[in-house]
Amino acid sequence: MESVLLPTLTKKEEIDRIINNTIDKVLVLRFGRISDENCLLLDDILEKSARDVSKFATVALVDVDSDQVQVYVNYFDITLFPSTVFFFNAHHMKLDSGTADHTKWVGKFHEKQDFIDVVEVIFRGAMKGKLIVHCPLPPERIPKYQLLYKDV
Amino acid sequence: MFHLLSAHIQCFVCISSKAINHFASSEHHKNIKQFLWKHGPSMDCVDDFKISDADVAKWVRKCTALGNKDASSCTGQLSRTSSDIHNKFEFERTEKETHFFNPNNLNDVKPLLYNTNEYQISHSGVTHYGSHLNVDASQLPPGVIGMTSNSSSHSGDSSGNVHSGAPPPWLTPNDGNIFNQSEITRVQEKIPVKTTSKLNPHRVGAAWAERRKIEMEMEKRGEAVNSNTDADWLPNFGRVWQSGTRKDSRKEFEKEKRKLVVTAESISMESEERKLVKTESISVESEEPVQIQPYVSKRARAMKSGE
Repeated sequence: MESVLLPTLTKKEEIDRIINNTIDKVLVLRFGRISDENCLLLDDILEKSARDVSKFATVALVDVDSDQVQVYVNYFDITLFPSTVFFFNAHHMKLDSGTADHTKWVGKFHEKQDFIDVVEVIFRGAMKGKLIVHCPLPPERIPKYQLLYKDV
Repeated sequence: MFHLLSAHIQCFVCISSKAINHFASSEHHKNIKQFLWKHGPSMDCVDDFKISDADVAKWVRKCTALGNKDASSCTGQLSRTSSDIHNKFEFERTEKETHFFNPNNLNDVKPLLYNTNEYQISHSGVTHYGSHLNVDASQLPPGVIGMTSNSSSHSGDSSGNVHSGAPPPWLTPNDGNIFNQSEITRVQEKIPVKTTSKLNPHRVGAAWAERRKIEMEMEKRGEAVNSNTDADWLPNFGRVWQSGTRKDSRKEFEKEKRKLVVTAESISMESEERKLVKTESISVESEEPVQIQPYVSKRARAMKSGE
């Protein structure tokens, strides 16, 4: 089931193209699968907020079950789903949310405004030349997880 | 044809009457004095920019001589503009002078169908008066409107005007047009593409963004662009378990990927070789006959040997 508003990417070329064509806007890439409940909740929030952030962000969904996308799943060290990666002008933006992994956002957002706040902070930081920004959300709203190194 | 022309002449006269009355007014006189005192030449040339009352009267007499009926439509128009605040002063002034015009024909005013500039050239009857009352355009300060000084350079096209809804001359595809579309595009191509300078030049990926915008514009124009994104392209990414810069982590990942590919190839080659070896051994064994013997346990063998 494809989102009406958000494009779903299943090939490496599509991901490359969207990274290269998104200029002066935050690119939000959600890595997940439709069968996952958390993914569906996150997708719902992304779809509802896509229009609100459209002036400074572009949102796209990546289907991790596709074979051509596995190179990105390995490259981005994605082991937990859903995971959201942020880019700005083809540069990876890190988010310090107090968790072990600053390279992505793991899990879903509590509400639409949380996602908008995060994207706004990333955009503001990127416009000032910062590659890593602090998460504006309180700790209770940030999903907790355990990061394992090679399943150890 | 002459009737049409006279109708257009009357409309021209109607418009020019307002201008003439304005030039004859004391307000205009006062404005000219102020302007000349502030900006420029000596006050001696004030008379060059105004029209005397005698000239106005002469003009009015000659207008009536041309055609009473057509002139009356002009006065009808004049009378109708009594509520026009902008021209109220001029109306009150001209009311006395135009008493001999017939105010009855209020509905005979026809829209101006032709460019007034043409009549300034082609119909000397009215334009003669206009030129007679006109001041030397070269001496006019920029703010003063000249009567027949309207440049006739734009009047080549008689296909229509603003009232008829015709396109302006600079948009029509005309051979005589100075600025052809092809020339415009050529000039635009020569001008370097200016990027939006409102964004922070120190933002993340600014240089990349500017280069990419130029590339995209070139792609839109259809020009060939050297694309850096091949099948193996990856963005710089700060990985979780790697230290160092993002470029280093990308290179490390590319090395790992190559190793994986090499090992995968070697594994596949080994598996192929093993398959070959197995097939060879099987074929060797099938040549010799296999002797099948029953199994004898160790105890039985010991007992046999003990016996």
